[in-house]
Amino acid sequence: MASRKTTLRPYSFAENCIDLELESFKIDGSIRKGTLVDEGSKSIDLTSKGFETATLKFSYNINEDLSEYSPEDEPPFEILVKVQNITTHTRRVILRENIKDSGTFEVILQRKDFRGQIEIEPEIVRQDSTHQQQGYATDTRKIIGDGAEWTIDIDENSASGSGIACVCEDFSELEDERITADMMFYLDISNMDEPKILLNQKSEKMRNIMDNRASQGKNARIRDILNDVVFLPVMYQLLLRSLASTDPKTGESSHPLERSMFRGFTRKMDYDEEKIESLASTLENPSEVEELSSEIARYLQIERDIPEDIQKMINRVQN
Amino acid sequence: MTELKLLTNGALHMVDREFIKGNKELDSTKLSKYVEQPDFSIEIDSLLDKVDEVMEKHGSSKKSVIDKKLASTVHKELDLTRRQASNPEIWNYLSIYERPEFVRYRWNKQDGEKVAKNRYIVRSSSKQSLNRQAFSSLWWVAELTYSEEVGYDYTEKVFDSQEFKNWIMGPSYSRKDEVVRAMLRELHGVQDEKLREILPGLTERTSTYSIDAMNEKELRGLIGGLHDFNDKDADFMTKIKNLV
Repeated sequence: MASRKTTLRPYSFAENCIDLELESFKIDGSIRKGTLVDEGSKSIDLTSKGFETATLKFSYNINEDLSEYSPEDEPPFEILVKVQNITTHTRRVILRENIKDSGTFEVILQRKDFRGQIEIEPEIVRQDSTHQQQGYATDTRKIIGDGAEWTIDIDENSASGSGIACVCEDFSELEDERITADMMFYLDISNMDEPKILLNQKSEKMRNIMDNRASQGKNARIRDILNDVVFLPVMYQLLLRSLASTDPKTGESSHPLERSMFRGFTRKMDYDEEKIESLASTLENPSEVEELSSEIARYLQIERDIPEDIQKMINRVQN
Repeated sequence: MTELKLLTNGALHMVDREFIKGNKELDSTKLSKYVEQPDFSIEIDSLLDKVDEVMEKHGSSKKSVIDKKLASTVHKELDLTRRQASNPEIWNYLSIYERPEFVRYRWNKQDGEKVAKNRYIVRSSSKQSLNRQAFSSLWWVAELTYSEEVGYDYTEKVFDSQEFKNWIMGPSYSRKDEVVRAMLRELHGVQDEKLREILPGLTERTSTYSIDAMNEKELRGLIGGLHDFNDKDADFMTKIKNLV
């Protein structure tokens, strides 16, 4: 099991002291009506927007008295917001200003610069140092506080870890005793930064169906069902691992995929803080694991639209 | 005229042991079924000529010499956005369809071991995968180190150290351009063994210090401080203040 990642700070830290809210958005210069965000969610879905430039206006609000986190009466703090994108290895500061109770800022995203999921994270930083005092961060550039991260999906399959690579291999040729020729697939998590589903390529018919990109027709329906058959146990395995390996307090994990799956599951299932924090003990208690298993099964069926895939298949066979 | 194309994932099952060893060619008719046109147009004749020229002229040169020679070339010839360059299908097209002989040439091992599959294939848009494949790794190192000020000077420095090469698409703080430049200015020439000691200390610092709030001079102080003191308890911020 992967180790949990928690930042231990030898000074008082204003955790979650910054609230970010999406105020409005423009797609390619036009203000759009409607909402991008579900109530209480911090995920924005732009996957169906087909934009070149998206402009998102956020407001921020400091929800704590930050003078408690400094020995000075008027601490020299600033707010800083950064945008990150793992896939394009991009990290930019989009807001940096002296601290005040509230304010607004814009995030301008050009599709050409990003792929997958974009993260927006705020933090409070010391601008200057002061004399050392126990319990306080007194060095220049120390991070004093933070706020919950927002995510923006601009491509399908970037959330919930569903973009796992599928690789065809001849299982009879592989020198791995865990993989045998009579298996159809195997989840390779030897490198959690890049998990893979290995598919046994012995059946050319099956491979052709899996490679099919059509959205309609008999083969498209068979492909969807085949994908479900492979993905369901694989995602179950990965999700359990993610729930066990992610720090419930910070949502941090050693691997981005685990973090993304943890976040996807807890948000979709409307887990509150208390329930998230109890996950660790749930996983250690056999009687509670059963209930969690049912929830994971429900989540995966919803996520992969399995009832819809089955219905489409039935319609195709019957017509 | 040859244009850059996409090789879709359906073709990847054709990359087997014999192809990797160079003992067989792939059936071009079958392979062509998986070739698609991207939504942009880039001519690659000049790139392919330059790759061929390097293979011809540099023969058995050190691998780092080949990388230094080609990284800026690949980057200049392939005018891609970062979004385009994170699409595995363009890199798989170059390494499997156009120049598999380059992958064998660059990654050939003296002891007869076969070239690893991930030097040919980018499986996903993950940074690890892009940092391993023969062509994509060259482009991405150049992309992350090029600056108008010094051109590709930093790019060449990266190839002097395997640790730098692995690091540059590793931790989240390496996504910041100023960190990359500060790292290369302060630590270029340091032995890999020493770098392996220093880098965890830097990762630790970035969890409590905001690298996003630091300018390049401060970052150099942070990084250089770790190297000079090599002592996690050293008051390296004093050094930063002296520099600023």
